[in-house]
Amino acid sequence: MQPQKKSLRDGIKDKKLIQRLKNERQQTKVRADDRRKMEFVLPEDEGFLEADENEKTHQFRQDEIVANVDITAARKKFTLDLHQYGPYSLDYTRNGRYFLLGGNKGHIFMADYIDFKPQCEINVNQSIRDGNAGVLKYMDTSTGQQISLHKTHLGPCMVMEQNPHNAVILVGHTNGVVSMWSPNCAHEPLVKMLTHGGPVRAVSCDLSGHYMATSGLDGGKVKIWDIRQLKMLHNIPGNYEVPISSLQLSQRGILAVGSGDVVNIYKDCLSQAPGKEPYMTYKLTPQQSQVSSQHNRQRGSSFKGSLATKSGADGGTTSYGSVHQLKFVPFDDALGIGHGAGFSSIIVPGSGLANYDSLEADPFETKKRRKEGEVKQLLDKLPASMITLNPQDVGTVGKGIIEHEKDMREINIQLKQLGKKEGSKDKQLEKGGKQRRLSAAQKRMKRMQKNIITKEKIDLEHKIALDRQVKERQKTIDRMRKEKEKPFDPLARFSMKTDD
Amino acid sequence: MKIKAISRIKPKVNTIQRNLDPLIHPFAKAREAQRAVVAAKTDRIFAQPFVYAFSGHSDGVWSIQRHPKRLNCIFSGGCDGEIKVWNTANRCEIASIHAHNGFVRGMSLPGDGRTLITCSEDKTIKIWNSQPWVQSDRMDGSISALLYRMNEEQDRKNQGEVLGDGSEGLRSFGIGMNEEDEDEDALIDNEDDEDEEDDDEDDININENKNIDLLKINKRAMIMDEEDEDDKSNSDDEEDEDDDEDQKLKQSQVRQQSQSKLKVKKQQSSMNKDKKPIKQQQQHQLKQTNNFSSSQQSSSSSSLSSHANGIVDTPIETIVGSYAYTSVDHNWTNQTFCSTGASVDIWDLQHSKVPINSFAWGADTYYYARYNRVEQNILATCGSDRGIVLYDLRSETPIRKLILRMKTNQLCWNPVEPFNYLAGNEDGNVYEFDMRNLGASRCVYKDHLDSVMSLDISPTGREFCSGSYDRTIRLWDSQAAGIHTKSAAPIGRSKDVYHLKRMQRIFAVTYTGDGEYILSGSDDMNVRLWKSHPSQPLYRLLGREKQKIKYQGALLQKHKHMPEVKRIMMARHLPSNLYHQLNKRRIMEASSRRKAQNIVANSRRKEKIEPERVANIVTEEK
Repeated sequence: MQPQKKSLRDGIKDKKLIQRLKNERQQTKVRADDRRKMEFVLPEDEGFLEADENEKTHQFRQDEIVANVDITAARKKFTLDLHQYGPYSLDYTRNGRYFLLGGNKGHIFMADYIDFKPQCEINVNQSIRDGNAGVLKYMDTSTGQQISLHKTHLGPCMVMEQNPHNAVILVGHTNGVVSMWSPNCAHEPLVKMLTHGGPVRAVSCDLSGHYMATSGLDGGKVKIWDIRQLKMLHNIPGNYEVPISSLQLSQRGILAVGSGDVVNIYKDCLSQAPGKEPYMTYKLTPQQSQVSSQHNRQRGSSFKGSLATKSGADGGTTSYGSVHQLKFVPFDDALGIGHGAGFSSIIVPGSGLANYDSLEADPFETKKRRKEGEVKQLLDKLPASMITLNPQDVGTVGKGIIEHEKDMREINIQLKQLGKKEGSKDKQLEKGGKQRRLSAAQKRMKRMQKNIITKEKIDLEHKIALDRQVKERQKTIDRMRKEKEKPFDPLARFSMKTDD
Repeated sequence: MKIKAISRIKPKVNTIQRNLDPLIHPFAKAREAQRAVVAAKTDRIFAQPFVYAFSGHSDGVWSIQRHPKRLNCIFSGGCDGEIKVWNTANRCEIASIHAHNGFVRGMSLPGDGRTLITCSEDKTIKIWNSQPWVQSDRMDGSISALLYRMNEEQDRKNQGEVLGDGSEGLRSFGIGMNEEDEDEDALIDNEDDEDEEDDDEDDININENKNIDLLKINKRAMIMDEEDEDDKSNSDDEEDEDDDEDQKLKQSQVRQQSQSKLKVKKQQSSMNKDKKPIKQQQQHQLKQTNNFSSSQQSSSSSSLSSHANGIVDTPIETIVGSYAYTSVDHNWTNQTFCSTGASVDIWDLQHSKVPINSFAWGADTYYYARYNRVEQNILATCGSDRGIVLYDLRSETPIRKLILRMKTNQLCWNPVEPFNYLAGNEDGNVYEFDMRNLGASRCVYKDHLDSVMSLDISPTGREFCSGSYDRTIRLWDSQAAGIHTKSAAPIGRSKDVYHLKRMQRIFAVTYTGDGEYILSGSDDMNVRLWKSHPSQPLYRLLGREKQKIKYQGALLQKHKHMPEVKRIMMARHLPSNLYHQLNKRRIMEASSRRKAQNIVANSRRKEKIEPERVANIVTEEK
């Protein structure tokens, strides 16, 4: 027996390559160290809200919070009363500089979130709504071309979210299924998860792409899932009697749950189940809104010259309706709430990341930098084919292929050995000695042995059959993908279907 | 209650803040890979290697040599025996000498480049004083700059006697100081596009016209000198040509005569009177220091007749041998040089009547010899017996002989790894040998489809170029550079190929002293200047540009194995005949490899596939 050689990497013979891999690994370590060191020099600290004894954080009202934070942070608490066109949905830009409101009855409003200046306001005089067919379309926003079209075959879907980690789209369906899609999947989604007994109402994914929160119409539960293992972790305690209309996970993993006119906010709820009481609670009441709007008037932050200036003067008499959509502000400690009567922004300490990266998303970027950044973004634009469940796979060697080849090699070797064993019972031969010329009887024996069926042989044959199946399946997938890539032919539906 | 919420004040100055948390940098790896693809594309888009073609030779260019001390000075020798000196920065011809009556097979500039040794098929080795060419006004910069300098000298001597006139005269010629600034940029010329080539030529012509005007003045002045003094007439042919030229010049000058010009001419003539004896004196000193003896063999006794612009066109010394010489190379430390032909001769520069040593080992003709730069006493030659011979000049014996399947055309020692040398072979391969182990070559570089005529290693020792009979120049990364390059070519394959529609068989290639450019001499009578890194811009880079190029290089180096990147990096256009030939050859190679494998697999005897590094070596003799 030869002692087994211990090489640095299996299968790499090139010494220079081994050295290079070593160096690269070393460099990654150094870089990670540098990153850790750099954390000490980051300029801003994360926000927090801590209660003293005999206090609970969820008991603090927004006006108390506003009174205790500094003036720039306090500006983030405000309300826009827009009764006529609600309910409103909203979104923030990636750097948290601008926000966009869309009223259900056609009012579109964009404003600067930092300077409190309206940017644009139009009324399209139509109700804004989504399609109903349950079809997922991928469009290339820089070229305007459609990349792919998936029919979900699961009815209308009202819930759609993107996993920020891998750009996979999560769609919630009426049968309680959450499916995950990429533009590259053929006709089946990448993943289908049965999350709820009733229709899925809200889905949200965290920044790391590890966790997902869902809620459905099956008893008002909020469930936390691990999307890497595709497994449920725990429920958020308590049942919501009013159906949950929106869920949102912040950059730092704080969960906001909107149900009726109440927004509950939970902290540290992803890796372990949170306590019974939420981190913060906010109720959309006319009274509160009056307070906040008065407050705003004092601080002088109102959107002059727009519909949105109608801040809650007559708020006391109208109902605020229910929460329509929740969105945390990126890189800030605030939560935007779109509801039946407009838009509210509240302060949630500790929700956003304190330190941004100017080269990635900078709330204070200049016009020139924004323009240049757009060009750079286009240059770095990833092709749609790169959207996979694991974005780390890009630029690495497909391990699956290597392992598959290894398996095949092993099977071949085993088969050979098996053949040898069957070839002769001679012990010398088994030891791998010199081949002897076989006598007539031995030859006959060999021929007979070929027909003997052993367990090993059956196993191997089974493995080979399996392998073949896998290959065939891959072939069909490839074929289907090719078909999908064919340009859309409107007359194709009339052609005779042929079985090939 | 303890509370803190993020509050930022809008910065008044544009600031960049970094946070390296991977959470806010999604798709970092994929984006980097994408950037590598873009880098590969831009690298190919900006790849414009051809810089300039120096035309002027009246026959193919057989040899090229760079000046050891000056970046912008190169020498080229033609198949008709003509030597030309070029200024690569100004892209102009400095001198043209009819040196031999046959191919100029070899050139060498020993020491600091004060002398030039040439050898030829006409059985002569000639030693030239290269100083007048190298220090000529056209090499230093524009004529105008020189005139200014001369003018100043004159002023100092004559103490303002002709000051006013001279300066006026110059101004009337439209000579500005700006031209000097242009020349300072030397090799860094900002016109790098092939498309702009025509424009370049026009520009040059304009400059040339100016220069020619001034040259005419110069020449006229010289003629006047010669008329004044007793003419040392020469029977050389080129002298007659010169006379013709002079006559033409005279005619043209008659046409262009004007008062102001005349003033300048007179001034020039007076200046030249002062200048010429100094030059002759210099020549004389040089002769004395070098101890060149004038003998029957040497024609150095002939007067140092000067070209119209003060350039020498007769050699200091001529060695007449009994056979055609094929190459010369000089020792890097002492005053000796070697020549090849029927034998390998070692000469002393100072006593060049008879060779110090003569070697021959089996070959009828030796084609090429090269001294090792570091181990100065080691010499390598290649000869007609397909052998590469190594000599130790201390023991005055050949040490080893290596015989390959086909003959070697040229050799080149690696300047950084002095034990390694490259051999350009007739079979189209370049072999890299370690002189300590001649049993197998270190690497076989194969891509050329016809014999390799010439090769040169970059001063960095990391890359080399080769010119071939198949009309292409190929650039290679040395095997030692290995994975540290950004090129995606596998080891032993070329990383780039240069070819042009009108470029014929390549006889000579050489790197410039800074390794940034390649010069090639070919059958089509042109010397061509190429960039050695085709996408590197020629203009002076800003810091950010440098940074970007560096970053893109690193990206390519890291991602060159990715199929998307590799495909773009490796794509090269080849002329269709070469393309088909190359494909055919690859099929044939694959087939023979398969056959060899089959033989090994099915033979009873223990067969072994001979690696290519060994297969082409016939024997090693001691």
